[in-house]
Amino acid sequence: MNTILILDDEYVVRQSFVDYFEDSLWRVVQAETAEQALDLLETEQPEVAIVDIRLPGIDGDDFIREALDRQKQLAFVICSGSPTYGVPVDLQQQISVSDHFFRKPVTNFEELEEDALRMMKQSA
Amino acid sequence: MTQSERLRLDDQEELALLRQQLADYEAMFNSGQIMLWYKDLHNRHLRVNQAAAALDGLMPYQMEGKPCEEIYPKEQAEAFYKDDLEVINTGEAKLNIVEQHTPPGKDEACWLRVCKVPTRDARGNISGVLAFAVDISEQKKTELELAQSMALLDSVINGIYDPIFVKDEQHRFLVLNDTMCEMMKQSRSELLGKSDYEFFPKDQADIFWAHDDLVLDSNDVDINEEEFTRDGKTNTISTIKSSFSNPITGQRNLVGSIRDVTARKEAETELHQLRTYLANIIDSMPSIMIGVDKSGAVLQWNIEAARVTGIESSDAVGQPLESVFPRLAPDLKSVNKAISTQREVTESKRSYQHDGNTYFEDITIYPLTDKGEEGAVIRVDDVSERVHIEEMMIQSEKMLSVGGLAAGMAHEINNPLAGLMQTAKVLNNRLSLQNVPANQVAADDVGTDMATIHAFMEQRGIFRMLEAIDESGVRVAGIVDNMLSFARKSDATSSCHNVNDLLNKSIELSATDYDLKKEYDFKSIKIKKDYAQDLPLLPCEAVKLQQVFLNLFRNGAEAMHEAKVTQPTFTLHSHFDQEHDTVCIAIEDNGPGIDEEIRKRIFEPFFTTKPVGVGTGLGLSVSYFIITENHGGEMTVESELGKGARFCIRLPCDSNGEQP
Repeated sequence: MNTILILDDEYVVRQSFVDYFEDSLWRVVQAETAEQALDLLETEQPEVAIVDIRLPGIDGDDFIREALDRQKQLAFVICSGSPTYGVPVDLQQQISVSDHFFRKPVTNFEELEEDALRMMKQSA
Repeated sequence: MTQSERLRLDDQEELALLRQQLADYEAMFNSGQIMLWYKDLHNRHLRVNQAAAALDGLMPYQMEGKPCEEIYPKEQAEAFYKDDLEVINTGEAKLNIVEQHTPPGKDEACWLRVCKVPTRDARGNISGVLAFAVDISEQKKTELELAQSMALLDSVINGIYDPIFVKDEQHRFLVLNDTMCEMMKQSRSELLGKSDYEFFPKDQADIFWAHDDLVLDSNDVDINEEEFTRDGKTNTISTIKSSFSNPITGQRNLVGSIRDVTARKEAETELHQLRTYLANIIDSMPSIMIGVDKSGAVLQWNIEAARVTGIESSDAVGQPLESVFPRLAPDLKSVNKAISTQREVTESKRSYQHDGNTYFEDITIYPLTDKGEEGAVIRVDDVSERVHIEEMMIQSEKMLSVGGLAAGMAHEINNPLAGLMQTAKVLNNRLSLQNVPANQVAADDVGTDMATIHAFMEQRGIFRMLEAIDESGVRVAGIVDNMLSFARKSDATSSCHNVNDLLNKSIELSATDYDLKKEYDFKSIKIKKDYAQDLPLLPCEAVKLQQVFLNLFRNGAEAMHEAKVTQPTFTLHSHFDQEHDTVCIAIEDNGPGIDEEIRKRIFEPFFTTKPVGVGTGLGLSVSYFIITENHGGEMTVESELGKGARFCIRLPCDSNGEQP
C-alpha cells in the first residue's frame, strides 16, 4: 500500500483529500502544519506528499526544501488556493517536484491521483 | 533887296516865328497835367510850370528864380539836388525816379514819377536839369493795396500746412506755397513756370496731368489719392483740384491742395492687418467662437462655427443666434447672466444628439464690455473624445480595483470552496456504485448493499443535488477566475497570430458551445467575413483574444436570439491600419442594438442585463480588460437601437501592452 502525506492547514480541505485517497486505497498520513509534517517524516516514509503552500509557520515551499534534504525518495505535488502563487525556480528544477501545479478547488481528483502516482514512480 | 535887307527881312520873319514858337511853348509848358521845371547847375529853379507849382500850392513866379532851399526844407532840397547832380555829372537822363514828395506846409505826401534830363547851352555844355513829373499817388496807392493783398494771400497760403499750388492751362506752376516748395524740395523760383515733367518721372507726371485736365475742362472738383515717391520713400498723398477763371489772364487755372495721408494710410493698413491677425487667431481656434450682442445677434462667427453649422460667417453675422445655431438658444439666458454679473458662465459636458450619436460639449460664455457696448463671446468645445476617454479610464480603474480585491480574496474564497466542492466530490464517490471497497464494507456493516443505497439516492435526487453543489461551486470558481483577470499581472506569454485565424477558431468554438448548452443553433447564424488578407502577424495571447471573441459571439448570439431576429448575421471585419501599425477588428450583429444608458456602462464589472444567475456581469469587462490592459489596445462599441451593435477592437502590433 502506498503512503501519501496530506499537508493542509484547512481541516475541511485536508479531510476531503484524506477521504478521497483512503477510498482509493492509499495509506494516508496528514499534517496541519509544515512543522507537524516534518515531525511525521521522522517516523513515516510516505512516497508522495500533497502540499499546500500558505501555511502558518513554515510555508509549503520551505517545507519541500527541508523535506528534500531528509527524504530523497519523497515526491511532491503542490496544491494551492492562491491565484498569485508560482512554483519557485529552485523547486521547479527538482525532479521530485511535480511540474503540474494544482489550483484549489480541485475539481478532478482522478487527475491529482494520477499525477501523484506518476511522481511516485519517477522518484522511486 | 540887298543882302542885309533880305537878312533883316529874314530875321524879322524868323523872329516872328520864334515868338510864335515861344508862345506855343509857353502855352504847352503851362498846360496839361505834366509837371515841368528846370533848374540851373546850382539847384535854382529857372522855370516852373503851373502844374508843378500847384502841387506845392504856389504860383510859378513864387518859385522861379529861387533856389530849392528857399522853397523846401533843407533835407528835401538836398535830396532833389543829389539827383540833379547825378544828371549834371553824367550828362545822362535819369528816368522814372519814383519819389515821395510832401508839399511844404502839408502832411500828406504824394508820389511822383520824375524824369530828369540835362539841358545844354549853345555850346553844348550842360547848363542845368529839365524835369518832368507825374503824380502817381493814385497808382501808388493801388499798387500798395495790391502788394498788401498779395502779401496777405502769401501769408494765408504759407500759413496753411498743406501744400497748395496754382497751375495755368499749360500745367505750369503759377503759385506755390512754402510747404509745396518744401515738398518738391525746390525753391519757388525753380518751380514757377515749370510743369510736373521737369520734376517727376513721366508716368507719374502723366497721372498728375490727367487729373489736371479733368478739372481744367470742367467745374468739377477732383480728389485723387496717389503714391508719391521722393528720395526712395513712398508717401500717399490726397490731392484736391478745382479750377477757376483767372481774372487777369482770362485763362482757366487750377488750384490744388495736397494732404499727406501716409500716416492715415499706415494706420488703416495697420488696423486692417491687426483685424486680419485677430480674425486669423480666432479662426485658428479649434473651438467654436461666436460673438453676440446683448440681444443675441451674431457679431463674430469663426471658421469652426461655420464648419459645424455649414453657415458662412457672412450669412451668420447679424442673425439671431437661435436661428443660426439653434442648439445654443437656451444659452441666451446665460449670455444675459454673464453680462449682468460680468463673470464667465460655464457649463461642462453638455450632451446633445446628432445622427443618433451622443456628443458632449463644454460651453463657456465670457462677458465683453467695450465702451458701453455689451455683448459676450460664446465658446463651444467638443469634448466628446475626452468624455469618452474619461469613461474608459473610470472603467479601467474600476476593473483594476476589482482585480486587486479579487487577488486578495481569491485565496480566502478558494479554500472554503475547495472544502465544499472536494467534499461533495468524495460524497458522490461514496454514494455511487463505483468500486470503492470501503463503501462495500460499510454497507455490509449496516446490513445493506450499495445497489440499494444507490437506488435510494437516485430516487431522492441526491446525485442531482450533489451536481447542483458542484455546478454552483464551478460558477463561483469561474467568477473568482474572471475577477482575477483584472489583476495586471499576467503570466501568459504572447506569441504571433493571424487575427483572421483566431476569429475563425472562435467561431468554430462558439458553434460547439451553443450546440451543447442552448436550445438554439449557433450554426443558424449567418457569418459574413470581410477579412483583410494583408494582416501582419499580431503578437498576442491567443487564448485571451479568443476568450474576447467568444464572449462577443455569445452575447451577440443571445441578443439576436432573444430579439427573434429573422436572419441573424454576424459580420466580421479585419483590416490593418498601417499608419498606426494597428490591427482593427469589428464584430457586427444585426440584433436589437444597445441603448445609450447601457452602452455607457457595458464594460463595467458586474454590469449585466441578463437575469440574476444567468451571467456573471464580467464577460465584457474582462474582454475590455484583456484588450486594453493586456494588449494595450482599444475596445469600443457603437450601436443604434434596432440596428445591431458593432464592437471595434484595435490592437497595436508593436506593443503587447502589458504593464508592470
